[in-house]
Amino acid sequence: MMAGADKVLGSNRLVLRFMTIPVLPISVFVVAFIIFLSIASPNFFTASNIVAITRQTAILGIISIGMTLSIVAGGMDLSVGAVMGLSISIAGTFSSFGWPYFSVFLVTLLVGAACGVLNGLFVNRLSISPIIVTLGTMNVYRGIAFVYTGGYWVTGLPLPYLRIGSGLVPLVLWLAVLALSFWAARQTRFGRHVYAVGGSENSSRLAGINVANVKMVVYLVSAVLASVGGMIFIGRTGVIQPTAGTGYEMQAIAATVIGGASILGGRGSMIGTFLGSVLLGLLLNGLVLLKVSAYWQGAFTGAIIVIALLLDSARTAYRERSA
Amino acid sequence: MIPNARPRSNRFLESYGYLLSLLAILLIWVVVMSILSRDFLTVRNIATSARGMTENCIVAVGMTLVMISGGIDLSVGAVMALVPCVVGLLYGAGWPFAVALLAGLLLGLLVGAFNALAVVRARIQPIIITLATMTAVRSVVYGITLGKSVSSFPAYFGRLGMSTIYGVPLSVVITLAFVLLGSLFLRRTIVGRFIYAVGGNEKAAVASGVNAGAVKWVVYLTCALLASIAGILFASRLANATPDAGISTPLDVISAVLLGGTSIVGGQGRILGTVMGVILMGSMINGFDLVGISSYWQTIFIGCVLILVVGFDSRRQARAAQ
Repeated sequence: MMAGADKVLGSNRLVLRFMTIPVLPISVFVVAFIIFLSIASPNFFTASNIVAITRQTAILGIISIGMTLSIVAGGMDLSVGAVMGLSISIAGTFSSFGWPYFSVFLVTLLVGAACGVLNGLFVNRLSISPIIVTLGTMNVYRGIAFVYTGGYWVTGLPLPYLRIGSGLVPLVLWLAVLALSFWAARQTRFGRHVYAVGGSENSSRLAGINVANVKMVVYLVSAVLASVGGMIFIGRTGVIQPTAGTGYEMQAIAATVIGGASILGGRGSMIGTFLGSVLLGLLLNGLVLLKVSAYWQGAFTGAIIVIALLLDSARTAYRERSA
Repeated sequence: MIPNARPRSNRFLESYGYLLSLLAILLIWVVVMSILSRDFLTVRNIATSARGMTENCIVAVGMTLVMISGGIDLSVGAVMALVPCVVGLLYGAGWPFAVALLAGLLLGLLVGAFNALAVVRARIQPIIITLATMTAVRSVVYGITLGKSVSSFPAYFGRLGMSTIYGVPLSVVITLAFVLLGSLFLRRTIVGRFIYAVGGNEKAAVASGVNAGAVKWVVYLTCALLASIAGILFASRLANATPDAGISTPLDVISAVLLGGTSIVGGQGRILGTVMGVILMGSMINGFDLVGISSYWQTIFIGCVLILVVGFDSRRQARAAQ
């Protein structure tokens, strides 16, 4: 990425430097938005509001990390929202059997893992574009969640379930997943392979990387993280509902793209995605504080995505011209 | 795709074989369903389910053009909701109905123009940019309607949606007209042939003098316009514009287009196949409804159809490439 910068001499070097740091525009965005909200609303910069934002955003933050993995690997996982709904729907019945909460959470993770393995199998075996595969499985998983629960909610969950969604627990979980993924993306062989596969599948194969394995792990991790998001969802709302997670796939793609990842694969960073989710979380909180109807949230999200995409395509065009 | 010097019978099978197999599946389904349910093969049920398929069919014609050109448009469902809601609100605010209708259609075209601009000028992946416009437009629809349906339409608007010509629903006639126009446009005009060229191999098309950008503008604008018209027809059928209209349209329509033999990577497909796809999916869902299978199962079913069909398609193409 930075190799192009050294080729160019002269005055536009600085501009190029700016254009090639992926997380810079988003950082500026986030800081500007925080300053704006602090001025616009006296309730924004309070400890309780900040903690509330982390609680609201943790689910998106964790799911987005999985989405970044699949997008960097050159694919996309549209089924994350449905996996979230399905995994807690199935786990929910075990809670009413009186199973202890940790075993119910284990079931949640196992269902998520099963969904992820299925996605990975379809992507590898059928050689269809991952977007289509996960568009299909999104419907299948969501449908199964509805059929399994009959559309009914499980309410009145005991206290241990709520603990995972209260206080600083969501934030701690989020930061733990972030740290782990940051380390994995930079320091492990698997992380390097994900970037390589996303950059060029053929070259990766020729270089001896087991592409199918890498993809399988990517979709597995993505789905498991979605079910972790589901656990926080249970904790925050205290109910288990088959519609849980609807629309999260879109938000997670938005966070990833805003964070500077290339939709074509091979480029993206965990920190960028983290900032992207923070920006979307701030947006949601800001709309509430400024008393804008929740209906308009999608319009703002859409506009931010478009701006991020335009910035990315300008950056790509600039790099191509300079190279 | 372009006919060459092969024996005639072989060529016929090659280009219509897949459609014939779809037709065979449809016939089997009709036979099975008429045994299972006495209501399936009745004039009333056929007319009702045909009406229900018209909007998807019109949108699918536009989607076929976009997908043959190698793109995709996820914003169709949101446009389908936007246009009639805006028309109703403007009419309710005292605008003459014709002017309101025109304004609504122009707004729909504006969404298409935005998609085209982003795809052509900024070179953003169609699936991503239309995902963004889908989200934004849907949110605008909820914002301007406050989430409630709009029912301020002239009385004749609702009657038009349910009227018939010699027993055939008017919306079916309109749909057939669009199908015919779309088919002629793709097969018989130069621009139509260019759509195949751009979808098949964009670089080669540009090298041989095709203005790929202009072709993409045409397909995205057409798709948005057809989605707007479908939205109007849907609203006139219910005499009511709901902001939830078309939520599942992108998935249903894309599945039907793929089922009809259009390739996900572009360059291949035909309107006739798309119509077959819409009818097949529509009659399957109609059958499920009659037998009393819940809509939850239908969601699962559509997801499976999508994966299976595209899976087989990519296998078929891989074999053809060898």
